[in-house]
Amino acid sequence: MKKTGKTFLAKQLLLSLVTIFFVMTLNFVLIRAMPGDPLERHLGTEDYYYLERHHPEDLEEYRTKFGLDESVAIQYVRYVSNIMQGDWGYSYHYSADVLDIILFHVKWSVLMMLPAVLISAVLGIVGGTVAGWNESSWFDRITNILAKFIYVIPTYCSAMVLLLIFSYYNNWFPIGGGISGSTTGVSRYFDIAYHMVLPTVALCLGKTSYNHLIMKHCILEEANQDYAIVASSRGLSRNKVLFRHVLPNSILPMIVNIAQQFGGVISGAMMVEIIFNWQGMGSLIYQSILNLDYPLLQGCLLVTTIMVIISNIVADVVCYLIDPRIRDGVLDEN
Amino acid sequence: MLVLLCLIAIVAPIISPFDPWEMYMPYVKPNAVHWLGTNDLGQDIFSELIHSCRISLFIGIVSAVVITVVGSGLGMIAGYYGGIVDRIISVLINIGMTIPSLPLTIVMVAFFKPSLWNIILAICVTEWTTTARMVRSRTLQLKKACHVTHATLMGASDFYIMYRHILPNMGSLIFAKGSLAIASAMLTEASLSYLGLGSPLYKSWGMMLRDAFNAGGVLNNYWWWYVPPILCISISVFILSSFGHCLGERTQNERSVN
Repeated sequence: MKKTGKTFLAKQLLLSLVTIFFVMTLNFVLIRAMPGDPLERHLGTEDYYYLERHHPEDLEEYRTKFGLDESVAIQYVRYVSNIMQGDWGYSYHYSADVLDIILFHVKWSVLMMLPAVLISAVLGIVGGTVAGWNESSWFDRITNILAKFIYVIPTYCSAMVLLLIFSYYNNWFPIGGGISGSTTGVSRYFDIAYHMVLPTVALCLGKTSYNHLIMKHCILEEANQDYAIVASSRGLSRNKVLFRHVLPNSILPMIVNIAQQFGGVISGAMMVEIIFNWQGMGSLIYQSILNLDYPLLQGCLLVTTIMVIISNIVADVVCYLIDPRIRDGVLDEN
Repeated sequence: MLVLLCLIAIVAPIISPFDPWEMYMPYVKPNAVHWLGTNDLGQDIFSELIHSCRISLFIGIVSAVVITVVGSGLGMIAGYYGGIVDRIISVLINIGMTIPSLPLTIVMVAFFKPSLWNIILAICVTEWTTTARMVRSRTLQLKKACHVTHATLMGASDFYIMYRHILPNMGSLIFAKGSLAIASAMLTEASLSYLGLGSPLYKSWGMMLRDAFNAGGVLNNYWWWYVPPILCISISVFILSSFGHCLGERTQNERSVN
């Protein structure tokens, strides 16, 4: 078979499917690998022991209902088909379907991440380009150290510091939450935006510095390639070399990187969400840990994986569309 | 600095002025006796900090060693043998890289009950992939090098070639990845303990932050409580990752010389 871009895409797609199945299997195995009765994980520890003591016959009924009395293979098939049909289990803490709860929280997570990813992408690309193109200028030196240091500060630490400075001492921004009560219409949107400022800044800090470093690296790498040297020796102005030749090539890895940040919506913002009490996926995971809400926790893991996979596919497709090397199957990953 | 950090971790019980679990007067400001004050239970923050360094570093180093050994072992096998073995290991690497690592670690720790070794296990399971991938691609390059071909012709066994001829050529790469692995393992550990999934038997920087945040240390402005752990995490991760990057740059130079 001729190796073209299409086979590349097909391969990525296949891999994503395998990954989703892998996570499902992991979820399935984890719940059964734990010591104790798996039913305990479906019902919650308290209810389980209550039923065991007072209504053992109900317990058996639940066991049949969840299909735990059948063989492991049948259980697995049923589990997978349930997930495919949108039945992700039941959260005993919230008394609601796992999928409904997750979808609600995903909305809020995306709402917070979208501006953060976009802002930090723009800042990082501009800053990285300027720094990389004028290497060892004062701008490059200062931003380099700054970016490297900010990058290693855990996001929740910077979030905490921001919270202290702007909400606690100065009272400029709300201390947490996503929205104040009793607002409607346009003022509602402004209110959400107002609540979003601090978490977004906290997220942007880390992401911008990361983007900055990556972008600078890409620019430096491309600037030393033969074609760039030829272009400048042809007498093109520095700006022309940058915008016509170097930038289009060095922005490619950035696009992949940014698409992946969209996928990392959840794990990336988790800590920030918890600190600012934002009702996104991160807080949901945190809450489900506190409540030992295993079905919900597993749903969260699956959703996070699926989001990462979707954004990876988007990144692949975008690369396929704009990079002729992938389209023609010239570029080999190895 | 790195040596200093390790030294502090090793001699923690000797140099820390108090037992970190012992309770004194709560909410004391920094003074001559308690250098960094005390927390809500009256435990000495400075001693807590030193003892936490120990556990954070321990988790970081142990998981980094496991990650490095497993990652480079699998990477080398995949790169050296190629074919079906390579396919399987590569697919595993790709899957591991796709699953978001923090949620996976959290789920694993939550399921297996938080304890020191479970945390290390969860970190290892999620983070061996990058090392494996880098070692694999480097092995692919080295396999074609002259000295490896010569050794093969002389009839050396596969294991001998990998151990004597391929591994030594990746020394600095592996060390660079290793120190980055320590840094990321420490960060993960801090996040886990901040979430309340740390081992309840040991104190760590993440747990100190969690206590400070949950017991009102942040909102009541007891700065001596939450600033030191933040600084400790950031600085030690900064040192480790710049160390890793320096080594990484050296590897790049070596490669360009080759």
